[in-house]
Amino acid sequence: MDEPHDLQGEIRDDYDVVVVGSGFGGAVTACRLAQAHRSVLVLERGAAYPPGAFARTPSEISENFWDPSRGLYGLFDLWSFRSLDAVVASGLGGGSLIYANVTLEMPKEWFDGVSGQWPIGYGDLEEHYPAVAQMLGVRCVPQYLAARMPKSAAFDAAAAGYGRPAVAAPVAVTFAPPGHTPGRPVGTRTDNLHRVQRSTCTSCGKCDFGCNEGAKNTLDLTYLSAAVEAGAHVRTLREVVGIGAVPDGDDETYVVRYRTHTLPGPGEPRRRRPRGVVPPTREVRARTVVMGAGAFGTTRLLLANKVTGLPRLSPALGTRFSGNGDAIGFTTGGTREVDSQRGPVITRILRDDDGGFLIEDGGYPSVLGWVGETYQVGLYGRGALLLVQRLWQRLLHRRRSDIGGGVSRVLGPMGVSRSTAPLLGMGMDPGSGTMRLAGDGTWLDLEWSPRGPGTAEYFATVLQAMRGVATGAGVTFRRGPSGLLSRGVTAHPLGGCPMGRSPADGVVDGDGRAFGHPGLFVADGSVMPTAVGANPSMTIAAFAERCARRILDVR
Amino acid sequence: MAAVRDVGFADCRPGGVLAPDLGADVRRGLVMAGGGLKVAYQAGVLQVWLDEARIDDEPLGFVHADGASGGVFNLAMWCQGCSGRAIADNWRRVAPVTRGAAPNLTGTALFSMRRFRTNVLQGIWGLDWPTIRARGAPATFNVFDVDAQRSRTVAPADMTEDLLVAATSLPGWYPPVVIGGRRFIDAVYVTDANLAATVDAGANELWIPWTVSTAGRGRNGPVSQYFQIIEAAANGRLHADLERIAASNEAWARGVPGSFPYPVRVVPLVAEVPIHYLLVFTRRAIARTVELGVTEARRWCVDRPGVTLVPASPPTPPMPGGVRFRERMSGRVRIATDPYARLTVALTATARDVDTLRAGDRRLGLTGQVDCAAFGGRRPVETGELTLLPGTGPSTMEYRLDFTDLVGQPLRLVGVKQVRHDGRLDLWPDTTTLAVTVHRRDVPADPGADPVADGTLRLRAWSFLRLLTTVRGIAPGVGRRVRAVWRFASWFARRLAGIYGAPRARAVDPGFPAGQGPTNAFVVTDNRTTLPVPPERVWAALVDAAGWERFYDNARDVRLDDGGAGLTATTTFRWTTFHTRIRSTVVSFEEGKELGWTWKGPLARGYHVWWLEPDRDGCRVRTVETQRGLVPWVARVLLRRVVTAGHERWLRGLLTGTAPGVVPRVSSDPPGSGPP
Repeated sequence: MDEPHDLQGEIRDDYDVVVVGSGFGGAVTACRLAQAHRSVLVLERGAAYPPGAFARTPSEISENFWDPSRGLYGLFDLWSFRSLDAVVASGLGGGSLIYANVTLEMPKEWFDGVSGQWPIGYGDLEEHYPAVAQMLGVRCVPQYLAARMPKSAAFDAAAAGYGRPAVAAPVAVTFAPPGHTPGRPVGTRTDNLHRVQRSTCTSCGKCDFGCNEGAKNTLDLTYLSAAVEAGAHVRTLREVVGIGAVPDGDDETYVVRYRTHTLPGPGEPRRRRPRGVVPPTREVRARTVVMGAGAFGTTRLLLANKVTGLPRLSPALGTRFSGNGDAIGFTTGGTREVDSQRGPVITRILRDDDGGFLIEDGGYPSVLGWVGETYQVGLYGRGALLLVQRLWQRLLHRRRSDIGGGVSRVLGPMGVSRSTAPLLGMGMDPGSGTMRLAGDGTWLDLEWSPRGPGTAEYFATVLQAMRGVATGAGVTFRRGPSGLLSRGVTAHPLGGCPMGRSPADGVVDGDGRAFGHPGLFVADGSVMPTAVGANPSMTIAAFAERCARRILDVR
Repeated sequence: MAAVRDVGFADCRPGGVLAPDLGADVRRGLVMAGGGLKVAYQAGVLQVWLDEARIDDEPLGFVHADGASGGVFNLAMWCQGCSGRAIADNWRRVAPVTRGAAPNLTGTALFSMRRFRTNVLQGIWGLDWPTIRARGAPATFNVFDVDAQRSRTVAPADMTEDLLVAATSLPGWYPPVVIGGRRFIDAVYVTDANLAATVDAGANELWIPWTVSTAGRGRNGPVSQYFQIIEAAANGRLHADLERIAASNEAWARGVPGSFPYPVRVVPLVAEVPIHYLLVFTRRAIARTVELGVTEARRWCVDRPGVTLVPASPPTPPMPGGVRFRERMSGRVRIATDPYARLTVALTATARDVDTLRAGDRRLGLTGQVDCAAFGGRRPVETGELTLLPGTGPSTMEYRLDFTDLVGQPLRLVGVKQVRHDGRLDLWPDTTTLAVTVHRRDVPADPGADPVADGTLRLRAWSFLRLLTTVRGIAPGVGRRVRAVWRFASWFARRLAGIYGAPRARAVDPGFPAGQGPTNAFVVTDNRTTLPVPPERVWAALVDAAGWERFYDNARDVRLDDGGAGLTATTTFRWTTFHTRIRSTVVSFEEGKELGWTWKGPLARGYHVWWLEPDRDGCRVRTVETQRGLVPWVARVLLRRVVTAGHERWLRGLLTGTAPGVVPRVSSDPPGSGPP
């Protein structure tokens, strides 16, 4: 079987299970249910991005956003609420396409601090972590590649200065074995659903823009490929809009309505959707529906369908939103070479159990380094100086044809990109927000504030620690634009369909099954009743493993 | 340039290449070509061809008919079974400006078909789409799909008024029609007469009344030149088709199969019609054009060998007078996410024939929209029907609206006004209060399940005055219209007088003690929820009146007169709720099922009842309160909202007060797999 999986292939009228979304929740459940010989359909709204297909050029990036009403079907889905900005992914593999590979368990001590709000125990998650780690090929960033990642050493030094040791980040990346050159082919073409050749990590630092090498063990290359191998139907560019329960005695079946998006062909201009045009929907039926559309996607879908299709959903729907305590800052200045463009985006982790947060070294692709440099006033001054100099030489007829040294002087040390390093914080933000539908059910509204009770203190602690890390390295700390505007920013939205002990405090039970709708399961980040603290992907995947096992038991 | 011999209408004369000898096997096809309002001439021709012309003493039969652009109007009438005379008479009654023209305020085109639809298509022509779809006449309608950039042919079984309007929506003048997410326009630039579709459907003799000017005269100016584009497109395409037929016929004459499966004869009636395609202003101009068509078609028949004429049939009676009015009702409904959501219906009711309405067929057609944020804003009504005061005694007004919400869920709204005299001065409240429920259409109605939405809509006094200004007669001629409205209004008034002039009947509210039901109460609230615990547990929480304060912050100082702990069938108790000290007396008490008490407060009295019902998830709870008295009347608008919100809090409190500690058992699970 050398053909890639037909992502636009037929969709039957009936399946055992329809999985909505292909992120850490959807992909894991789809895989486990398909392996148990259920007929599974995965509906993903975004396109598929095999390694090599991610946008890199400015013109590609400019259209790499998600907004079907404007004919945009790209990877990044950006949300801006009243006091929070968020980025999520829209593509086959969901958040795994753009996350920073960190696959970290939720620390037990942190769980114990909030266990009263969870209907399950830590052991219920812990038992599934090994399976996820095995499927995703999780390993720590290897020591023998340290020379290629100067920022790791810089972060370690800063952490030591702050007084807490940093450890290597466990990441789901395929690295070259010791003694091999990075970027070598790995695996075979037939080990993934795209039928492409993957290669090992080249330390290009573009993890968050999609890995064109295929070194990231994203879900489409791991869980979804296994699901396809087991016979699941995975379909992209199908956006679910409606879910209706059809009562069947004590049980229910479900009608899932979806829209098909059509990418504009090569060379075709993208078209705005004309006013008043409602794209038609199609239907598929299933006895079980698994929601894996993410904290925003799942919550919005369930809120929109609670009125007609799923009226028995709990009134807790939309509550307990958390941005996982994400905070971002930058260290600048100093003489040490950090060079954050080299190496995977996150390589080291500093953990503070007292405050309940992590600080990680950030990275960014080299193009942003260039962008950052263009903000340096001195660059333009030196450029003008060179021009004046050349003009002067021309006037005096002293023409020097070799100007390499001059241009290098103009560029200067490029110290900003060399010494600037993002710091990423996240942790047990105790606050929670509430989502609801607004604007005739067409958009999502979030009530959440970084200055809420508990949240303000939490952010103060994290920023204090970040400042401490910067001081430890002898450099200055800057908060970036979100600090000026007093806004939160998150890449880890959680909650909205929280799990709970009863419909009074949760939308789903400890297995992800919706109260009131026996065949509806939620298996993504939206079920987390509190922040996870650590990067949440592994916890979501572990919960999805648990959810899949429960589905096999009762459906 | 090589000499080219154009194939044209001249070749349709006997002996021409477009007039092969077909022998006895003649299967006629009728091609209703477009031509804007010039198709009024075509209607005159159809009167002669369909009714008066005879070949071998037989009326002309057509195996297939095709329509494009303006010709689809005649085709739709033909598909509905209208005689030629009826088609022509329909055109004779069209007043294009006073009944059809409407400016377009959305900026998508110059004009809108809105008034043409209501006044002409639904009004004096009375196009009846269920009949057209059901009769299944052999026909094809041509319409252009903008999104696919393809011309489409549509069979009558799939036709709708939207598609008909789309097929005549000339770009620039009329906006494209959006149907199922796709935009459709007039197909005239692609084809103004789909000859190939008619031949493919089995016809080998094409009768074409061609009204597009072939003179090639044109004046300057954008409007004139716009229509010259249409003439060029229509004539160009027609002649290309004729050339293809000619080539095919020549091949068949040589004994070789042509591109059509058999030789095809073309029978055209070509006319220069002396009115404009679109800019016609008077009824008389259109009527004159119809008469011209009749006269010329008769002369044409006389000239054509083998065709004889029978005397003209008498004029069809004008359509019976109908009435139309618009109304807008608004109010609050309970939905799963909001106990007090606003829902508005804006409807146009059309009675096709006032006389049959008076005689007993009380159904009126409804179009319009349902507007509720929870359903995705304004959703168009797909099919709607109003049954107005059926029978002779106390009666109802029943509205039924089918629509689809934003997520694609098909829904049905049913609204009922109870028109019966059971209270003082209840004519106005009865006829303006609509109790609505919304159900899903895709699942069988489950009497046990809660509806998607239920509540009460009201026609406000202001809306009623606006309704009065929208009442219109539908009939040709002012006199007939006034008469239709008068006959409708007088019937309606007499019907109401009959009901409300009769002695007052007792209000009947099943499930409520006499005099306590929702009928004629000023404030009625209705809240529901499903709790994941068995009814006994909810019952225990409800009868423990002294413990309400634990989960319902709006109940304070509950004191039972008998000093007991729980409510019994006759308990009297005093408590403070909504900042009012009231005295309640339990009057209905059915263990685990129903608990109701009457209460008295300052200048107010009411009845509050709880119903519990076992459900697969545990227990369904519904609580209804009715209020009467001076204070509820004065503050009724405020109280409806406040009491609804308060009871919603009570239900939420019951959820948090009873649910913890109970792991809901899912009844559909296989045995033995309880939650871990």
